[in-house]
Amino acid sequence: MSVYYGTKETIITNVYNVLVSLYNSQTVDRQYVEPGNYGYPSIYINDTSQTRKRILKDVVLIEWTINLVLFVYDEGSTLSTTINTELDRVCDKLKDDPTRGGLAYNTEIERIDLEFEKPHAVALFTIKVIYLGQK
Amino acid sequence: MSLRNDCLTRLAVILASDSINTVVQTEDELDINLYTAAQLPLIAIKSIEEEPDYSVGRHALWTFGIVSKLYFLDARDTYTQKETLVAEIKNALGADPTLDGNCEVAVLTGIMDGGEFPLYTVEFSINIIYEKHIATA
Repeated sequence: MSVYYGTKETIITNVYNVLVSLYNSQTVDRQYVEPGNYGYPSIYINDTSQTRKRILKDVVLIEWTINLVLFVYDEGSTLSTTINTELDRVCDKLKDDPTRGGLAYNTEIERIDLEFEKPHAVALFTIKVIYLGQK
Repeated sequence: MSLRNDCLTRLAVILASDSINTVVQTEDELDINLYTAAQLPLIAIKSIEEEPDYSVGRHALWTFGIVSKLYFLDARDTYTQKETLVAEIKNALGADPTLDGNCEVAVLTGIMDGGEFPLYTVEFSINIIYEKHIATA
């Protein structure tokens, strides 16, 4: 039976490791903190909400929404290019394995919001991870 | 035990094929939330209707309908499990069309897919036909 289960802890570890492989452990964080001395680009993971649907007595379908906040810094005139480049890198990396290492059934990038405040730009990814949990 | 119950009992045995973990008989729609993942694939057998097809003297050919609903968990992108289960059930029914001599024939009249990720269903509509005196059917 090709059914597998995940937990928040294992899935978020996968997301963290995927992002660390893009950047480094100093610029990837589990909580929202404005980047300080860590440098740019940097990315922060925030879990925001989830919906749970009971499927069986011991099986729950969970749609977990996670926000990724990406900060870039560019003093020159190419801020939009810089943020777009980083956006593509993050999207491609997330889409490499939508099962989050065989823990989930899909990872959907639902939307990306951009905010510019030169020399900074911020991208907010809203991603939904769909997985089965055991009660 | 009535002939009808004999047929249902035999049907439950037949449908409990290699891959089926649970077979239950139900009068109403099954509350699948009461079952665990380890109990799936599960088949719920439900009688729906019974009527005489024709009568000759005091005898009648009776038909009663059964819906056997198969529940199983699966990923969205694989249908191999469904194909395996459906084939097993069709072959099991085909190998014992008289339900061990309890009826004239058990006919599979329809198969309908249902459900959604991760819980899928396949409904088998089965007509069981037998001949019996109308006073004792």
